[in-house]
Amino acid sequence: MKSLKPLLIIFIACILTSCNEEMILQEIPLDFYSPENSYRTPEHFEAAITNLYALTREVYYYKSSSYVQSFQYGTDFGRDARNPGDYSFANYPARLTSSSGYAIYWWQNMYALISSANVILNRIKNADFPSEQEKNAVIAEARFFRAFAYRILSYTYGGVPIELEEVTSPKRNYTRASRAEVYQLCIDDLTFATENLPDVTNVKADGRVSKETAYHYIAELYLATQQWDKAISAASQVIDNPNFHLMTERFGRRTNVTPRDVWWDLFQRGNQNRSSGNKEGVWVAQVEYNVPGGGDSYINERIWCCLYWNIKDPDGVMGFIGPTSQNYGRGAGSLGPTTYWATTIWLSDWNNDLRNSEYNLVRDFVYDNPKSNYYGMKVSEFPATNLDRRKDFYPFQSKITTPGDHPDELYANKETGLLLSNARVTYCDQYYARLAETYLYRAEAYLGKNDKVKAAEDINAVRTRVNATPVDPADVDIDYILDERLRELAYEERRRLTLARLGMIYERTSKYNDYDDGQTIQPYNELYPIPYSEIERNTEAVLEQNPGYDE
Amino acid sequence: MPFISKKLLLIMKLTLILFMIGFLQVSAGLYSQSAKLTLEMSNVKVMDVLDEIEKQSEFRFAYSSKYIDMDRRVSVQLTEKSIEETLQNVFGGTGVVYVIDDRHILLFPKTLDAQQPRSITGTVTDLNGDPVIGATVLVKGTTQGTITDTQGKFSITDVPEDGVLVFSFVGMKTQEVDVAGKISIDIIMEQEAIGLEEVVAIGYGSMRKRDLTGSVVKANLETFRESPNVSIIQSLQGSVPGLSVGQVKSSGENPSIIIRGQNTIDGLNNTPLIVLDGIIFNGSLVSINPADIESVDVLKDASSTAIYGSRAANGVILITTKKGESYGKPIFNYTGSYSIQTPAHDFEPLNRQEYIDRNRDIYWQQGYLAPDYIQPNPDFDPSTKWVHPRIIEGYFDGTDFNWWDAATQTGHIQNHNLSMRGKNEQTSYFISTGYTDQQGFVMNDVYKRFSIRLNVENKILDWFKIGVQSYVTQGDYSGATPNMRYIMYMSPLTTPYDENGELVYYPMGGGAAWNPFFSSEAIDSDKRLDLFANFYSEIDIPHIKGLKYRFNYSHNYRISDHNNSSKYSSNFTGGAYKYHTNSYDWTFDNIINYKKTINNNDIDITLVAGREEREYDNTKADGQIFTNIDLGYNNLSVAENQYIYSEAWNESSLYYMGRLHYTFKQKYLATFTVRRDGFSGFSEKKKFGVFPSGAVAWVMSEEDFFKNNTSFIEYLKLRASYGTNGNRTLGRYGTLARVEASQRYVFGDGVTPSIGQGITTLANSDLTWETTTGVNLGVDFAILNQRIRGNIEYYNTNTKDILYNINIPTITGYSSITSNLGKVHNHGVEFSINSTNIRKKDITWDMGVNFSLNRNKIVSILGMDNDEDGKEDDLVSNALFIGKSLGAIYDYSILGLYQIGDDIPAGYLPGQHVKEDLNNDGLFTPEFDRKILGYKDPSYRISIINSIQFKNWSLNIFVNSIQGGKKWYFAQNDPTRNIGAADNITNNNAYKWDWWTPANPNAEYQQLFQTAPIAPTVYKQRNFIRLQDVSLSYNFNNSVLDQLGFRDFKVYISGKNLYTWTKWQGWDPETGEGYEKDGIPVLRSITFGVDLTF
Repeated sequence: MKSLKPLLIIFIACILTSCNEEMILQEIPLDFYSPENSYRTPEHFEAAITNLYALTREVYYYKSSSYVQSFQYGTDFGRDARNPGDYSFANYPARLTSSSGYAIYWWQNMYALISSANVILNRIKNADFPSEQEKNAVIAEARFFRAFAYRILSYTYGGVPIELEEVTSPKRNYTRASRAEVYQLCIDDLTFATENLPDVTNVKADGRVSKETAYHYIAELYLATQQWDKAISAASQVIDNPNFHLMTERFGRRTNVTPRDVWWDLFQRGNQNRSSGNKEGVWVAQVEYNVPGGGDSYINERIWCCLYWNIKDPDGVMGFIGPTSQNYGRGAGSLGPTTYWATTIWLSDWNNDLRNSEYNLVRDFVYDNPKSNYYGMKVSEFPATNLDRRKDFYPFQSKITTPGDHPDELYANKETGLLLSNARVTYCDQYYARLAETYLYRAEAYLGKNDKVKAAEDINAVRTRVNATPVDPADVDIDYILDERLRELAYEERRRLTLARLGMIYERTSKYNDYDDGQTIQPYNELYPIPYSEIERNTEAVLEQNPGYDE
Repeated sequence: MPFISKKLLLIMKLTLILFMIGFLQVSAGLYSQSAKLTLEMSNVKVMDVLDEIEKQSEFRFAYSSKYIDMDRRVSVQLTEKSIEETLQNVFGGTGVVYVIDDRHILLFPKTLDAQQPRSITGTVTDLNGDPVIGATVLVKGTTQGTITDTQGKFSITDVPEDGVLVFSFVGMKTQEVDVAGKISIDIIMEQEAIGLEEVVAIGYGSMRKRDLTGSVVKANLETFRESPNVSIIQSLQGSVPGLSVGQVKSSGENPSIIIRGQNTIDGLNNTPLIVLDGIIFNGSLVSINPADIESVDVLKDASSTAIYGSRAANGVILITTKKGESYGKPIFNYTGSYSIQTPAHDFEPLNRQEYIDRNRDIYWQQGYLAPDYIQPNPDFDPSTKWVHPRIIEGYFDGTDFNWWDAATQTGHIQNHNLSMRGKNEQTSYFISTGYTDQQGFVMNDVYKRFSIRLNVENKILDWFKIGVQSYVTQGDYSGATPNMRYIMYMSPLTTPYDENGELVYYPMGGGAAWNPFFSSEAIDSDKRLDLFANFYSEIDIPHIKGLKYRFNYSHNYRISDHNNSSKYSSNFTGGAYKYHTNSYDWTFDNIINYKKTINNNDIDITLVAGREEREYDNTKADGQIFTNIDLGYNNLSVAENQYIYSEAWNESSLYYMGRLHYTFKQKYLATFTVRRDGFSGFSEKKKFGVFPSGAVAWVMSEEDFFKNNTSFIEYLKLRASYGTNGNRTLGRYGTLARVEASQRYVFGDGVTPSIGQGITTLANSDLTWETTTGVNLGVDFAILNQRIRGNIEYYNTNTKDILYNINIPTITGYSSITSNLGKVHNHGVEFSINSTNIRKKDITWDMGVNFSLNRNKIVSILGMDNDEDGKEDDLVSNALFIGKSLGAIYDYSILGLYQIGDDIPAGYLPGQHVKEDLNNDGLFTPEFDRKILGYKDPSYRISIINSIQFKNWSLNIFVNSIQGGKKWYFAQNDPTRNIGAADNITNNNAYKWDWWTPANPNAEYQQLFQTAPIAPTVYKQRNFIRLQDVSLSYNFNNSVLDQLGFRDFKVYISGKNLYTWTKWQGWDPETGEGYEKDGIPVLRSITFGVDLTF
């Protein structure tokens, strides 16, 4: 009997361990979802679509500011303000190479967006929706983002590989399509979007793309493919829509701040969404300060505002008490404008154009350090002999920041407006697309048809709203439109994309960028290099490099 | 301080006395009462009478002829008398008295009472009951002693009643026995834990070294006991051939470990399996108090490790904790040490003047005068180059702040361990407690460990034992360090504080580097609790001799709580969090063991069936923006923004193992094992893997022909093994695609965030474990009367189905996918040779050399030949090359630096690297102008230990070295790359290195500033020789011990990382940190310690 007991234990042990191996080893994830069961219902797809918005905002407005801003500098608009520093194409051949971060940043992030859209488009086929219309609306939204990404890729790199399916196993045999093929793909996707997205009054929420958003972008693609009539008609779908108009009267949260004007209102916090009364925003990136998912890391203020608070008065005393909200925040003087932008384009209408008013285009500061003998006087009138106009003192538009309106937590002293040293980001929704640009697209289309009168009409719609002298149709050419875009859309548009679409990066940059960028740019810099790492990984086919980047 | 106060000493003595009382035994003297003697002798010497008594009976006499006249003639006529009566008859009226202690009889003159020194007799035998001849018996602390005779008997006189006898014999464990009034002492000596009889753990059992067939090494822990090693693994650094242990830089950190080269490609999954007291251990090894560890055994070859199947490919480390060992009084042991730690190599950022002067070198075109730029330009104003305002202010107001000093300190380690161990017929126990307080070199780099261990085993019945091995450890990592990278960055012209004494957010007034003291100013509590208990039972199955059943049922909870609050975080609005993690593992092992000897055949069979479950979860509550953060993390609900996060996973393993060990005539040995492993993380298609192995060995020296012909080789064994095992690199959920979801976007103003979801990983249902198959050949030998002992190993392994995140074009939407691909080959040799150079009465000198060399190469990667050259293609995008080592460095070859006046290509500047144009096309392209420059892996490792014992002194010197020869052991050491260019190098501080300027054209490193179109990385060799451990100890002799009441008392001083010979520049060659911005120095320590046993 004694020997039975241990045997019994052995027996129990064996039962404990060996029975039902399969059940014991079954694997069920605890804290993440599996693709099989999370792309089934409309709610699942809503979350997947939300992700597209987040990815796009990340790439455009915060992920890595140096690369984000690379669509602005090294053009006829932006230039480096540092030694040169990190934000720089100061030495074009050295900075823009196939191994540099610029090349991979846009490539990888745009393909990630495309892939996320493809997952939705692939999996929605088997999903249950209450109606075909609702399903198509989701498809349209996904295709909108896919087109948005291919659009950026084709402007930036030229023809790129086209992938329209969800990739479920490794693929290494990509080849480049032609730029025209990529444009056509964008047009197809956007056409579907114009047909199936809700119109602007029926979108689910502020910040969602509408039919009109799709028309805005398809108009641009028609410009790129020189289909002028289609471009005109697409742009007109937005311009003629009664739910859109250029804002002409003061509106929004800060009308009590005077003297200011409507153009200033367009860029104040909380004034971008339609719910604020703004009828000009065609598509607005949503930025919410200090909220999960708020995406509040866009550091436009820090990068584009000069380092004014470092300026000394002629006696060598610090001229400012520090960075203050009313002085446009805590600039670090990383990027400044070309002289062309800062001066030349405004000369013809210096005093009329509201966009050049002292509130909208900041050109001067008043010494505010009580210890300075120059307290209350203008820096421009009493500059120190060694005033650094490259980094400390240069013009910028106030739309990059939220003057006098920083979030409360960021003040070191609310009374003086002195900001804490962590005040650095832009606390304001951002325009992806604004009606003023739609006008300028249509003007470009009319110009393409050589209808300068109509082109001038559209340009003047934008100009008269800011009290600028209307342009004479005879003076309208592509350079004028590009200048007008600089006046109206600076900091909003991705300048490189506009110039790349027109093939004018080298021409305009070498001509108008009076800093290192303009002197070192090469004709081949018209296109970005294909990232070398991609060429290397694509082992089963050859990804052709863009000419000029072989060295 | 670890030194003993007088009060403590008193307490210890009192305790000792109490225990003595408890253990004093009263002799029953049964034999003496029953034995009857019959003597008929006339006119014989007393000595003859005593001899006759010894002959007739089991009585043994002890006496000193100095005091007792043995030649006195007597006559005795006695029949069936007791010993008492007999002695009365012989010694009556002579002034000789006697004490009868069972069979032993002590004779002494009446003038000496029982308190006087006495004689002691006894027998020394080994475990088999055979006498040990020639064993030394010494009265401790004296030179008085004797040796055992041919029957193993001894007799020793003049032993103080409270003295201690020390028994020693070559190859046996030295034993000490308290006389405690006894007049006879019989001793069973055990084989010493060195040499062939040494028992080593082999997993699910143990084996004598003599019987091993695979490559198993017992680590030499004793030599390193005097080093301040907080983790036991540090004690293995350099001491086991084939085991590579990394350096430790911060408090409470575990060093990295690799056994025998890299099998997997990414190098992340080479950690060996750790088994603690038979249980697979998933926790942190630093939570195990090194003082509790009895032995560490390392299983290296595929046949030895195959018993752990899919987890064994990286080798196995078996850790065994102490238990109650010797019969008798409990043994108390206290060890205490105090270490002082300073950087082994001084390496500090630039001071004010150096920092200012550097600007001239950065902007040499302006800082020096054209055309040759040698003469400084007097008009150069360094302040125009900085862009951060506080630097410029500091330049003018003369600020000179030493950030490095403010963030560092002299480190120390304090260690106290107290243990008690003992054993009696039923129970053996080991109880210990330890306290370690480590204060690192970096401010707030703190680790405190409190540990308690209880190992008890109880023999309930002859055939039934139960026991528990358990510990609880609290590791306290509380305190956050400053951001050392930013400490390095901070300009000496700036200070951390503003005029109000508050920390400044950006001390330099700009840049990415925020105030490095933000983190260290936080209130930080980081406590990790580790609870482990293994409940086991061992049953000798009755009626079947040799059959045993054992089960292990173990639980390990690991709980960590990391709480932190800082008024500076979350952009100065205040932030606090509580982060809680739970880990729980349980294991249930069933082990059946059967041992049988039939004639000359020894069979040892082990069968295992087991199951392991692991669970993990964490919760983080995070609060940001506090109007009042006084309550810190204890009240997160007052935070304006509150975030919650959580994660969880679980996994299951099932395993079955069988092992047959067979020995014939102690000459021919063989081991066969097979393990079947199931793991929940394996893909649906392949839930189980089977891993077989086999090994044979031949003890050549046991053969007659060998014995007859070879005199100087005492022992020679040849071993060969072959086996397969797996690497469970594939973690849980590794085959599944993931959809991750979180709050991603806010549509509108002031509304609730929306959830976004996306696929983040591709699924791969074909994934399986990596398989490593290997051969091991070994020779064990002992020559010249065991003066030289050692072993030599050769191994050769192939790993296939390697799990690897292979890069794919990001056009797919993913940058990599986990795949089973490729083959990697490793081979190497190791040897370990120990010699006794001097063995004399007062001095012994032992020396050991460990050597290991490993080479690996990639045999196959994707298996594709797209360029159709008939050879498999390299995977250049991952720097993997067929036929080359995994550590290949593929880059442009640097020929020198461009000088002023050279013909410099567009985009480049003087002082930048001249690269080799491999295809001579005048261009530099990544495709055609890169080549393999060298390899990251070491060429070989060698270490030498010398141990010298001179009287009471002992000295250990351990030198460790890793060498790279010409092509090996390279690492990136590129200050320009590491510190950054442009703005960063202008504003950020760093250390001094040999940078190019026109006046310093032959500099080691390139110019400081502009980026070049193609900037190759600079690699340097890490070769080093390190005087790693030196210790000197003194064992007090008996007279001192007597006064203090101790058995043993040792004091020592030891040094760690005392000196390093290397050409590597920067932090440390072994850590591979060169000119890193966030490097931490390796520390040199001086330790004082005591070790006392009572």
